[in-house]
Amino acid sequence: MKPRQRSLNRREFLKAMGLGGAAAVLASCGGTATTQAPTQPPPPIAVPPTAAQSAKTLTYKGTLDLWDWEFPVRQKVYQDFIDNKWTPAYPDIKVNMQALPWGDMETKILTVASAKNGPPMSNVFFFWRYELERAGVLNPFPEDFTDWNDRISSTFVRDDGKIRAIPSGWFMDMIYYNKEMLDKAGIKPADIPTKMDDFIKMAQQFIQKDNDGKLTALGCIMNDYWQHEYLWCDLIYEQGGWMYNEDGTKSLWDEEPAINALQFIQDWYHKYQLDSVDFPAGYTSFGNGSAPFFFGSGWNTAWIYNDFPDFKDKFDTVPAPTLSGKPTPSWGLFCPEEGLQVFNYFSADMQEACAEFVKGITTGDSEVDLVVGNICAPDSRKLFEDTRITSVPTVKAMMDTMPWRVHPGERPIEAEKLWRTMFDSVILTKGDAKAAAQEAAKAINIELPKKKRYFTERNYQPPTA
Amino acid sequence: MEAGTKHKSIQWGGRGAFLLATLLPLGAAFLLFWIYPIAAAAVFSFTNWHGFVSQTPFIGLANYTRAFQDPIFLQALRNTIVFVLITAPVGIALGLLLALAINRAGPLTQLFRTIYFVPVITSVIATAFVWRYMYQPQFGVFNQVLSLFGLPTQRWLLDPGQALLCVAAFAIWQGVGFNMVIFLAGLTTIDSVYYDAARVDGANGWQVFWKVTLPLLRQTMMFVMVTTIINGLQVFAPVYIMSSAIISGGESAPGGPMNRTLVIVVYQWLMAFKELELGYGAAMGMILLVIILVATLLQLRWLRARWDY
Repeated sequence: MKPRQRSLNRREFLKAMGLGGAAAVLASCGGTATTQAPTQPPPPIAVPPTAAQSAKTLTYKGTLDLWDWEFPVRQKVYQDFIDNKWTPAYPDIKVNMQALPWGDMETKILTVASAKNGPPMSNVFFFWRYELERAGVLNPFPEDFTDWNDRISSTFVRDDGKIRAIPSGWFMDMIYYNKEMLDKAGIKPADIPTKMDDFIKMAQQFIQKDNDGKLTALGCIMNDYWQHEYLWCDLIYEQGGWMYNEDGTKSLWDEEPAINALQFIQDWYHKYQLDSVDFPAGYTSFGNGSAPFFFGSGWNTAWIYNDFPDFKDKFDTVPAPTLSGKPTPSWGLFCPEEGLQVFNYFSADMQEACAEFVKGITTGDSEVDLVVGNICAPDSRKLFEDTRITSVPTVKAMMDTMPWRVHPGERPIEAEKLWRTMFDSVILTKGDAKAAAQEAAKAINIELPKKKRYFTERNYQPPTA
Repeated sequence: MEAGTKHKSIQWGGRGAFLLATLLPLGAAFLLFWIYPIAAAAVFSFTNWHGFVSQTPFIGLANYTRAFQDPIFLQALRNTIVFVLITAPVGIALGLLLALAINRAGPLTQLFRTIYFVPVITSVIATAFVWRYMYQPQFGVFNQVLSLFGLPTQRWLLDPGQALLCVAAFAIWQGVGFNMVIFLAGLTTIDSVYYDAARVDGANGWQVFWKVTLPLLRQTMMFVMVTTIINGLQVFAPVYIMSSAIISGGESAPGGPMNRTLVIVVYQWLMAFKELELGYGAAMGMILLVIILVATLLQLRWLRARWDY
């Protein structure tokens, strides 16, 4: 999942303002602000009884530290697995899970790994994995670890013949809709267009302005850095374009598909006026009823549940519309939730124990629990018919589009600061899309050849049937 | 004579042992935690250290030339200077003004001093978050106030032209109490005889301020100026909190919108700890160190030459 959004709805804002002074005074007494773990209890996960009798013999005895970034639903699954399966099977190997704030996780994991320290296993997001891979600190997974032919990720995670990641699921863009608002407008979910132009016209029906022409109700909220980045990539792939050249030494961000995609994002705000940066970001404005639609990636579902518990049954999702109305040449981008990785600078018996833990939690019923807990699409093809997963609200809309999705592989760590400026330029100052794209492309093209890159977008093959 | 020599040597031995026992740990700590990191950073600034590799190839001045050819670093440098040019004069002037006013507040001096000092002792993280929400265009209190008076609402942190000013306003609010307390302390050291003499000579309030108070606050002013400018050049937390992912909920890549709030330390952090360009980050740190050193020496020289009487 991506970072939790920081915007407040009106009620939360007023509460924050009221408490602000008190909080400030309390903080002065030595407290520091940290990202609070959400308190909303995650949905119950059914964990089957332990299968301790099938446990592999492990020589390691002691504690295994496990790092993850804060995402309560997943931590619940991990803890259930530890309590109900792992500990009964391996009472001498304690797993100590620590959930770090998303904002700290990247820096901390890279820093401790560079010092060959930290936890022997960690959940590793795909943004960071490539830096760790280049450093050679991650253990590749053995071929017999799982049925790799069944894995969606196989195409995108193999490098130098080795499989280096085992995603716990996938997220991709979709349209979140407010059931009540659509119902009131006489629109059925099945009527939501699959072609972008038609979708925009539908969403525009919901726009409201005050006497000064200022937007007071939105058509479709996006207004989030990550959504800009993902939609931009979606639209490049939907046009049959690529992000990088074949050998990964040059970006194609200044080519027509990328410039068109950027122009589209500018039009979203300024021509179609579906959205406004003045509104709280992303799902917050959807959750507080400012828009009937939210163009968001799947990881938002858990946060909407968390931040807007009363809204839980009042929204659902449909697949994202495409420019052509068809899934070809691609339905855009998808991103792995990535998964647990074992670091190779610990003792062999410790690594073996970690690998066994990862295997246990990413296969069999535990994998289903993980997917259901994460509210994401599964990495395993055989789970596509599993009703425990298909019945999870919002997940099916992602799974329906998965075969046509592209994973770019590495997301260059240097790109984000350039993309932020690029999106700010076209959205905040209505800057020229071509110039903004060219500036970003020029800057990244200096950086790309400096390192080996792991771009996998060209491994994508659309389904033939 | 013999006894005297013995007595003296015992005294010196005791004093030497005492000095050694007290200074050695301090000196060692100073060397280990202060001098060594600076020296290490200086060395790393001549390498392309990327964190993971054990070898750190020497690349000479490449990181320094890169910095001065890097448009983002140059923008960060400009932003930092502009930030200091806003926060230092306004923060110092307001601090002095408040100190003068509170100094005459009689029994309410304590109360006002506490009120204005609260932001200084409050967590900058907590208050920066609160200010960030106060700047929110739709619900923020600043726009609510503007609307009350029929004035056009602003985008504040979302406006590339206003964002740095918004962060500077917060920094001034947060730091003015510190300056005020230092000035208050300075004011108490001025003997009332100078004011009496000035009054006898017929000086008005304005003249007393310019000819008596300000010159006699020279040492205090020097301290406040130096610390305020150093703090301004090293600003990190307010920018990090208030500008992170400004039009989104993410928690990374601060300095927006369009790098208009990106300051040197934030960019240094971004390059060193997010992009793992530790050698380049170290070079930026060294450049900042030189800037701070030069700025401080210039201030000391200027203030000493101008007001030493």
